[in-house]
Amino acid sequence: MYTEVLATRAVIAGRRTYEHADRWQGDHHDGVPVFVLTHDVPDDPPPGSVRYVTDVRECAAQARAAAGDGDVMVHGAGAAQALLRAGQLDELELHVVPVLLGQGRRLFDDLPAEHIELDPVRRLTTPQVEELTQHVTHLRYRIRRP
Amino acid sequence: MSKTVLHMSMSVDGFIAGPNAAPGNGLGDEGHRLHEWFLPDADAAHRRDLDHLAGVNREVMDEVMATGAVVVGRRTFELADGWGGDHHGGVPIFVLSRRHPDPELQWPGVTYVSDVTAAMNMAKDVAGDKDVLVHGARTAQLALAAGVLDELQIHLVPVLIGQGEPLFEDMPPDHIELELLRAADGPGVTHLRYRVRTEG
Repeated sequence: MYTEVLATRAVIAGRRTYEHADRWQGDHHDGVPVFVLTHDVPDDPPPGSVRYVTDVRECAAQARAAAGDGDVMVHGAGAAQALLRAGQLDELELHVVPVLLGQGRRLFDDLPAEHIELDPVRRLTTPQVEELTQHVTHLRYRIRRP
Repeated sequence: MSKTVLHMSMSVDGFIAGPNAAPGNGLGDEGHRLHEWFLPDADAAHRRDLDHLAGVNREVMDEVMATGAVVVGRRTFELADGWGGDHHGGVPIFVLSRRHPDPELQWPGVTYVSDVTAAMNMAKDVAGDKDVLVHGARTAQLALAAGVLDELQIHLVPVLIGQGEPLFEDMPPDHIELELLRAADGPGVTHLRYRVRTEG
């Protein structure tokens, strides 16, 4: 999983995730371009390889162009939902952890009542491990275009 | 020993029915999409038309049909029109509800119980060696909170439906650890089976 993340050549992140991560000190990984999707551009200039974009389609286009032949990593529920609504999310990979949290922040929230079909690409489950909390199921889906 | 096992078909975004679920529209708008993995035709009665299933989808449905009792929430029971008093095999049904039973939804094999722990105990008693099928989001939430749910089986359907009835809501902020017992892919669905961990 980590290898795939590190192989991406651009990042789209939501503002909330970006700030929670202390802006990754301007470098998410390998100095690849980071496009932060935000309604409200900060006054101070973006650090390192970060740039701010307010329009989701513009953000997707810039990130794809910057990534060239490589993939764009999408980081954060806010960015994921925005890209999904704009029809700009190609794949999603869920790391399903064997716990019920009870309360917290949802990945999918406030989407319109429309069906978006997913095509399973891959399911990986970590091998039987002693520490049950480490027994994670990774579900990868391609998002079908309408 | 009899285990209480929740079975729910769920979209990847966590819904077990579409919006506007009501009697006559039990799974909500477009909700039948969540049951397509075992009921391709919206009008098929679940207990009669399972012969077309094969592989792991068939195995899972066989497990459902092998249970010796059902514990179901009042809302789910009403949305399903009480399954005509018989979910499968004529096994006893315990409906979790604090209100008086609806006279239209009473049958010899159906008992209304107001407490979730009592419902599970009664169901396990009649099920004998067989497991108890648990169905319904609210019942799942109450059973988890009371510590009387042994396993969860989530039949994960590869679709995002956007709006609907979530499986998990109104839960206290306490972590409930699970042990993955099985992850298996069938046509149109991924089956995830978990044991609820009660050890400290």
